[in-house]
Amino acid sequence: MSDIHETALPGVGVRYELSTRVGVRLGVVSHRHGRRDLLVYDGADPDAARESVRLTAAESTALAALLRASDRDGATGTGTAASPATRRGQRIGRFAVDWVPVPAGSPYAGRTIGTAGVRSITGVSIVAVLRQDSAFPSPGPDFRLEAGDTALVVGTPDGVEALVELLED
Amino acid sequence: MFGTGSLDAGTLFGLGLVLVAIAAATRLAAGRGIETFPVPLLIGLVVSAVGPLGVVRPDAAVIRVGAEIALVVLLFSVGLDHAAVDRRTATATGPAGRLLAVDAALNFVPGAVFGILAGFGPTGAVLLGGVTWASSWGMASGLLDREGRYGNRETPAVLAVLVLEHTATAVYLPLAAALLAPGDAAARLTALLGSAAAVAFAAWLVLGPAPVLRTTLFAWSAPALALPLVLTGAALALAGLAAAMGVATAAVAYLAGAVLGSPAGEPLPGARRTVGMLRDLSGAAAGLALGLLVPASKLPGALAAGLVLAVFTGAAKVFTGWWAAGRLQPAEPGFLGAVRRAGRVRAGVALVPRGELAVSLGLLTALSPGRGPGAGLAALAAVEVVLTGVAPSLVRLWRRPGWYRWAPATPAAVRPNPHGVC
Repeated sequence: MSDIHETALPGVGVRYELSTRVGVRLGVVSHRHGRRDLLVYDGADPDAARESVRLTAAESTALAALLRASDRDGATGTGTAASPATRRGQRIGRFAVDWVPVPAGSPYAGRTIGTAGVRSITGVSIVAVLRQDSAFPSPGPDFRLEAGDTALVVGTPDGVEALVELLED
Repeated sequence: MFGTGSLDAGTLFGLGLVLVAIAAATRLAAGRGIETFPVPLLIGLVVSAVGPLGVVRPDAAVIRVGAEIALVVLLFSVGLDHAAVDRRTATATGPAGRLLAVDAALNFVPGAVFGILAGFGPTGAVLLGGVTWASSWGMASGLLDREGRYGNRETPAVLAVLVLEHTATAVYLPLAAALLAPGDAAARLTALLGSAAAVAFAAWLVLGPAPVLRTTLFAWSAPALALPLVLTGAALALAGLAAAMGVATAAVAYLAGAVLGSPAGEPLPGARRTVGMLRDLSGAAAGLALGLLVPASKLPGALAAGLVLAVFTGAAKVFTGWWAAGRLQPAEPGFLGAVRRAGRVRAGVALVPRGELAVSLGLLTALSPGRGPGAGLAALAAVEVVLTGVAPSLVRLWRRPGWYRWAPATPAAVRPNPHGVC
């Protein structure tokens, strides 16, 4: 995960910069009133943004959705049910709420939440588990996960990603 | 003769023609990427210089009334539209005090010295120092917006300078305006004390109930027509109160705007466009009024002196921006290093145009004849605004390929060379 550098623009908003792996620097200026500027920097003059595309709030939301939808498209290739169409992840403030499946063949199928160490490893809380047609709200640490379950989790986005990977391999 | 009450035909026709001429010139300038703020002022100067055209010259009394109202509304909306300094934000370029000191030393002092040399007296020196000191927030941020420079790494330096100058103006303007108070030295002293008290009160408001005031005001003025009326009405009413108490009206207008504009809470959508329109309209009206109030006899001298002054002050601002951008600390240590030469020059050039404060000071001087340096300083302020506002645009235009093409001002057409120093 590349570093995002944040610079305050007094009276205007905040500027974020990140460097991609291929060496291109990208940036976003987040204005106070919802406008976003998408920036592409140039090697020739690293101080100036070569391209500055002004986006309205709606356009930036649409672009962000496009960028996020291609997230983990066949990345793990394990044929799990975690395709982008079925995972309905949401972001609320700094937290992510997501439906995470326990795939067949997961090393954590058959283990309790407590012994799996979900909270201690990933920092994520499992707030409900769906099994077939029944739902189990607020499962305790001795709740046994089974293959085919879907867990509703709340945590940091990184933690949720980590939990998905944990359950898959 | 027929007419609409007390305005005679010449005034009506003349004003109408002038406004249409301003619109045409603004369109021409905007299409070329030239700053539009000095355009009404330029047209006013031209009308003033060409002399009484007989029937089409607007009446002086009407101009004065319009000038006073435009001044109050302009200062109020400039204060409102401009973010107050946030203690965190100006530290990107190092300590705020040092930046302010360098800025004042490089830009205020030459104006003050010039004022003394030109024989304007101590009041005139203080006022001329103010004219040459503050960069125009509207023109600088308009430039950043048009050229897509919000992403540039030198931009925080430009913004830090602008925000600091805005806050310093809130202290400077009441004191400078009090110097033009009518009456003897005792009256002036009273006005100065009144201004100081107003500044202290405004500071207390900003730190205390200002966010609540602001949210209430903007929420209450939700219908589209209510907001500009409330803002204009509040500005004028406060100005009237100030005049009754012997405090400078311009100062109170600016302080009121700055207090209400302090962005401690969330920004209020929709209000921003209204405030921007109010600022643009009153800026145009104030510029036009200043141009019309400058007597034609003062213009040649002002042009000669103003040219010298503009060259000095332009260079001073470029150096200020250069210095500020050089002191920018990168976001993380070791990330990309310091801003390079091109970026530092860009920062300086963005700060060159003088605008709202200079026009306001010029108008204040022109509206108080016999109590200060008078029309000479107003003429000098007008010339300074026009020259520093238009010159960077002209240089930018000249360096741009295909400037002669009559092309619409799309972003790509206006900004084909983002790496230039200008």
